[in-house]
Amino acid sequence: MNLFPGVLLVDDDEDYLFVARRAIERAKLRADVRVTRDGDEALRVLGLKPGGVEPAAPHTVVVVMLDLRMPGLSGLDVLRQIRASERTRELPVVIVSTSNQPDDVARSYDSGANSYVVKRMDAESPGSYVVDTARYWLELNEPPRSHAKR
Amino acid sequence: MGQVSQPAPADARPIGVVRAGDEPVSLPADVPGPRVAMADRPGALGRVAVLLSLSAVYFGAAKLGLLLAIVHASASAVWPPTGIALAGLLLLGYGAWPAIALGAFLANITTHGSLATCLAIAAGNTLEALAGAWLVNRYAHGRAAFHTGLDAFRFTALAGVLATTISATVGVVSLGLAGDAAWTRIGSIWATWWLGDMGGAVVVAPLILLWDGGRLPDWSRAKWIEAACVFGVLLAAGQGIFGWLTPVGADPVVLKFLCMPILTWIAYRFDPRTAAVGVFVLAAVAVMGTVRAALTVGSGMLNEYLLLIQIYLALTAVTTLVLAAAVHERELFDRAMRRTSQELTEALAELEAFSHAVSHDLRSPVAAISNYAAILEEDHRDRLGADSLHQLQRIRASAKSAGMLLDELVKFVWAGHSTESKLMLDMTALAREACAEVVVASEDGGTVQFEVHELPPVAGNPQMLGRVLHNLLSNAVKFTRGRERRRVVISGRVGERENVYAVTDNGVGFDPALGDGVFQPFLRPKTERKFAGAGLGLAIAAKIVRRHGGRVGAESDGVNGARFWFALPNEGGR
Repeated sequence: MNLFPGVLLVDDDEDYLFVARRAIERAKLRADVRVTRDGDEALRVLGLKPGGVEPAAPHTVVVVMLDLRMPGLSGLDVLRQIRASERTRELPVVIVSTSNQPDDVARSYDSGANSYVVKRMDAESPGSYVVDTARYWLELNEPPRSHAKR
Repeated sequence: MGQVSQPAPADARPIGVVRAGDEPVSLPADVPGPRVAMADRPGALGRVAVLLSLSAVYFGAAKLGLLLAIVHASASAVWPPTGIALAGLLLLGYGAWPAIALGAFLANITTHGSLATCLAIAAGNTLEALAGAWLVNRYAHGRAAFHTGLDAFRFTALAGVLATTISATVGVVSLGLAGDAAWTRIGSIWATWWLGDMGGAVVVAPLILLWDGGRLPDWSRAKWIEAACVFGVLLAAGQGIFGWLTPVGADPVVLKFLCMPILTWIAYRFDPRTAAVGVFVLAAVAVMGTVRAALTVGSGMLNEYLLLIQIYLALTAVTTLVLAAAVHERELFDRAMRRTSQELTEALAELEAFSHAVSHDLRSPVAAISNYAAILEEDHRDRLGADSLHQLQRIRASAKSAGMLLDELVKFVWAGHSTESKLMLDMTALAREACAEVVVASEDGGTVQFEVHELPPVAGNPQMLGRVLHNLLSNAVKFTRGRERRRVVISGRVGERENVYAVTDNGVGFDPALGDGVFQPFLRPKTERKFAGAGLGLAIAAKIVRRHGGRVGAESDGVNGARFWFALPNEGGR
């Protein structure tokens, strides 16, 4: 098992996932990147739903980067379930969406998002904003309780 | 077969609001049409039966009217047949005239007069109905005349006042020529005839026209009870005033006006059909009461009483029916407005959902294009020729501008959505912030000299008005590019009802012919392609200002810069 702190990417857009993973690899970010393509799978990885995939070891996921619009459970549904569980109540969740609509942003924060990032394309290097965002939560942010960070 | 306004298709809009002029008018779907009479017409035999019925009804009403022929055996102050004939022709078409002629002739020949005078009187009565029907069809929308206030007025004037002079004149002259009436009495006979016909036209015709089709109103129980009450009050007042059931004492002239509020109530609370019933009921009790009174005190003054009653009834009828029509018209208008408003709300929601989907679903592939082009460039830079690299950069630039356009589209759709949260704003500070943002956001903003004057505070949403200033300043910076001593001035002044804020630049300006058209979305003159932008910045600014109840404007001579201004209401933070 990878001993790096985990970043959980939840998104159904293969192009985004490709660019994000490539950027994280090239940035040599010391992170264990796990990818799920829908909300149910994300909840299983977080141990909030039984069966299916191998769940991440408790407290290894440091930040969830969550898309809003996905088939099945929406990003907000996943976010609310994360917030509803005692164990993941304080887990940082960043919404990463193509939408820059004020109501999407507002609803995300109302549902308990820690941050909201609009997917962008104007970076010098594609996906660098994903790296920057992950780096902030992995390296700079001090979580409220030490168990959220290894 | 005459021209009768045809019923509108069931899905026609209830515009009801009828214009002057002679175009055919779309009637509301619930306008009672000549269903029994025309649509279900059972062929020639049936038509003959309908016409004979019309003759019979005319005959009966005429015999009833002639019972009150006092001033002359052929002239009555109460003449419902005029209304029957008029409504008959309006509903059945001009071709029904023989039925009128037959009914009129038979009623007269069996009462009084020679063959010649009876033929002349019948001709006068028929001509009156034909002329009245033609005038009403031509100028008052035919059988729909009581659906708007203006048409109800026209009906009264044309069919009630004007056309009725024909019958009176033809009849009276024929009586005079035949030696059946003294020429000295011709005047009073004519007045009696005319007023009797007028009463028939304005009391009886509306009732038939509005009730053609015979459907009972689909009122609630409470409405039926209200109707029963108000008609009860009308009948009781009629007894008190006219004594139609049992005699009352002195003629209480002033009390006659008491009926007006009752009829106004009916006109206001119900519909033109019910108002027509109210008028008819009042006419019936008034005539019955007047005849009863005359019989008890002697019939010497009966004709005079009846004439006065006719004038009273005609005035009451026109007032009531016009009011009812106006109320009905307004109701139709309100209904149409509500429907339009609902349609607009739905359309707006759909538009927002559409822009939502477009902006989201298009952003992903556009981002993918840009990203893959960047990755290709990054990974294979060494192996690509200069041309290929250039083309890759073009792909990225195009994707970037598509992305910007999508961003702006979303902002445009959302602009002004949250104007309800208004604060008193320090516009000077807001303008300074916007200047700083614009300088940071643009590559060459540092070369522009910004001059922010003292601006009056105003009530508004800080984010939204910040965006207005930002967009106007970005626009100014964009269009001063390449000019010497680039300068942008932000000024403001307090007006009587609104504060005006202006952004003035010394850039290239715009074509003065465009005027305020510069605020339209996607307006980007071809000559200005070198200036980047989606063409929505000014449109967004204008939309936000309008959502704040304000106005926008722009001026330029096309050479020496431009001035963009917006005005916001300053009534103490509305």
